[in-house]
Amino acid sequence: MEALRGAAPHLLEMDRVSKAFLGVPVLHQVSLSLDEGEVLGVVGENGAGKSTLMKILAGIYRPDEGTIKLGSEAFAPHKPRDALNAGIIVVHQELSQFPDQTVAENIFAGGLPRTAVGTVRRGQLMRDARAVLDQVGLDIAPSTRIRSLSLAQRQLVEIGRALSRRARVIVLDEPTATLTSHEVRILVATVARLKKTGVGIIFISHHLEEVFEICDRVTVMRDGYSVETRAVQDWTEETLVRAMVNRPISSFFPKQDIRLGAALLEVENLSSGERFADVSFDVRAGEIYGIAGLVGAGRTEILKTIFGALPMTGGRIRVDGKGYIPRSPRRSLRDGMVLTPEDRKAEGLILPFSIRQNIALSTLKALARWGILSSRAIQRLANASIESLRIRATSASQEVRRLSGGNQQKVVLARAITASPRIFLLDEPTRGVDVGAKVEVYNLIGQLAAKGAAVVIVSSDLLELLGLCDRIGVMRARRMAGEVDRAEFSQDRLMSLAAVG
Amino acid sequence: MSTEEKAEAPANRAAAKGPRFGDFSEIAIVLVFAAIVLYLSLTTSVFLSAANIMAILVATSLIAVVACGQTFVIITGGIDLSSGSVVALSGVITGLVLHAGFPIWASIGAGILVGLACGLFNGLSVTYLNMNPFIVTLAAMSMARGLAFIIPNGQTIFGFDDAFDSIGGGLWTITGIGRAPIAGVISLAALAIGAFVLKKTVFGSEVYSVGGNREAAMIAGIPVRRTQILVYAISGALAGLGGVILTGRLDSAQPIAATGLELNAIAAVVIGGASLFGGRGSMLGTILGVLLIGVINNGLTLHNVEPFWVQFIQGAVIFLAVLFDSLNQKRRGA
Repeated sequence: MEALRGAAPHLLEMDRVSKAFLGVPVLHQVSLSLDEGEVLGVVGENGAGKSTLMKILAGIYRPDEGTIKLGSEAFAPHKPRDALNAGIIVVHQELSQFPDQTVAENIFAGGLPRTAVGTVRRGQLMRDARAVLDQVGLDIAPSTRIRSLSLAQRQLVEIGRALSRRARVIVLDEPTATLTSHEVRILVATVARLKKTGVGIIFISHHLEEVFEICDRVTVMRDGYSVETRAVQDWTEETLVRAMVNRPISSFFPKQDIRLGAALLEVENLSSGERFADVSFDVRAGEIYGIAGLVGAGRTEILKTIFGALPMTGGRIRVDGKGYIPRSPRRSLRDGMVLTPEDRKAEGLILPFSIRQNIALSTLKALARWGILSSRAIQRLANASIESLRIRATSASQEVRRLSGGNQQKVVLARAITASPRIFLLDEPTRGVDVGAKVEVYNLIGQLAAKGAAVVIVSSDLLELLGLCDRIGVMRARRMAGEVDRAEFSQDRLMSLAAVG
Repeated sequence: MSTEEKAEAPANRAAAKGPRFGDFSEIAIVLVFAAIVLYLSLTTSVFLSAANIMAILVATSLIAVVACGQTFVIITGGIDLSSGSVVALSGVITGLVLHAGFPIWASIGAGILVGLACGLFNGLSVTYLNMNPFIVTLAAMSMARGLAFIIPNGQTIFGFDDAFDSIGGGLWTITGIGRAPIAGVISLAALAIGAFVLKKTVFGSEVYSVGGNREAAMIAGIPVRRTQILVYAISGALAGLGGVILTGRLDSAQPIAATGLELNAIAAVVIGGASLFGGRGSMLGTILGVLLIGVINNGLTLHNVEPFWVQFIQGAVIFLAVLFDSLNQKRRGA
């Protein structure tokens, strides 16, 4: 098809775009193109550079090298508004809507039709909104409040908003991650309809099934490179997965041989409301148990429920063979369990506080006498942690927000370790961590297991799980879809359990 | 994500190294304070006299006690708008208990307990009922003020023992050193204990953590609810103590007393560098804020500034303090 087009310019062309943050390259000469009425899939593991690339397109970052062309014109957005004006609209996974306003108001927020005296033209607003909703195939009243819509409907409203601004390129950033299968069908149908209007769509997703269904071409990104682009019929699930995760594993994961002890943590038919249901697994002392699955499959929620941060509504937990009912994070910590959350900044760290203060957080009592803190004990603890975890910082009093992602993660882990738990629940322990620090985190996790701890890791990085874990449970649509033993490990197996029906 | 922070790192390395004290805003207050003191001592003859300094200390002691409690609440990211009304209610109760013939210590205890109860009401509402602190304490402000009128039937209660009145306006003679206002000594003690608790104790650390990042504090095993309840309880109890002091100073307990006092106290805390978003603030800052407000008020009186202008200038000072804070935040790249 491309050959036929000959010299006709693409709707969008990103040519050899590179970006580095402080000398750390995250995009290497990435190229992609998009034509009118085309859906381009962009797939890759977390950290492959998809988000950075889209942020460049949206004018949030500026590329260090490379050019972007819109039609035949050069396009170099300096700020998000430039991209908006050029008709490039990114629909993010987390929607920024006004939940208590109507659908119509949300679609036209910032540009409501007005009368001469400045009041809103209700009638026109509703009519315009109706037209937009028809375009995206949403059969709801424009006066409905956003709050009462399902997530899929909200996403369609967001796409409608994009259309109302005369979008030429719409980027859907993981739109299906949190949708039910019925909702996905609606979205797929809408995308098919949009294609006909000549809009170009970039579809970012982990769900290969949908990628195959929606996209015309698929570009695979890996470690900041655009590895390969092919028409969708030239990909198979197997070749696509291989292109996504193909990396040398050997030196990365020094898996140690650890003699496993008795089961430390046993989970049976665990449920938490609508978050997930009927999850069962057990972890033995010295074992590293991985939980794979797509974002939104309920992985984080499992850890939080075991830790007592989310309500447990069904099932049983046994710790050390004895029945256990999680009550609160504080209690769980006291009972020898620790959680390092997926979102370091929101839940793992107090960013404006020093390394020292963050590390001491879970063990304040042990660092005090009669309730009075010993600053020497805290300093000692912090220095020891900085040394043993090789946290790169100017001093223990440096604010954690000044640290790189890898070093921030080490601070979170340091705090977890100082609580001397026997069960570690680690949620995405290497997200946003650069490669060098990743290896250090892996080693550290290995050491914890070697000392007889039971470790549960949730991760979106399949390779990481394959390298680290003894067993991996795979979550799909809020249920455990299967469990794989180390002897049978393969990326394709996990990917197909997680992403394919 | 991580890379974004890396980008900031080198530029701020110097700032990051600095201890908590060298904060821009605290230095700024000290400078402003010094400038005002210098100006007033040059333009008025009485400013530096022992009598005037004593008057400043007495006048600020009430704000100081209330601001001390307020500091705890604000560092957790909360706010206590009920303090002024609680001062009045506690004063009324203290007065009634005295008139009923109970000993002084019992009346003081009753006043503080009433404040503590109000604080617990606020704290429990914020935590277990999951209500917004601003609204809860606004409601409590109205309710406490209402009770201060209802209980004595709108009457002012007056005529107490001199021994009791000395708590508010009396002087304490320390042989060899001189005399100090008792209320000033009490408030200084409260501030000193507060500073110690905040800086040195497990509880103090928990207060900062809850304000710094509530979610993270919870995951890290900090007793978030208990901490929040306690800060409101402390704020309430200190407002109760404030009620006792004020009743002693006025030799009367008035339902209308201390109206708007909470705003002065909150202003002092914010001027002292605390962030209304929580996680930041210090008792030293609060002391500076209280003194600054005290000196400004005193200066306005000495210069016979019209009361309407006094209001305006007090507001402007708060505005400037918050402006400083906002600029400071920007500079930190938050």
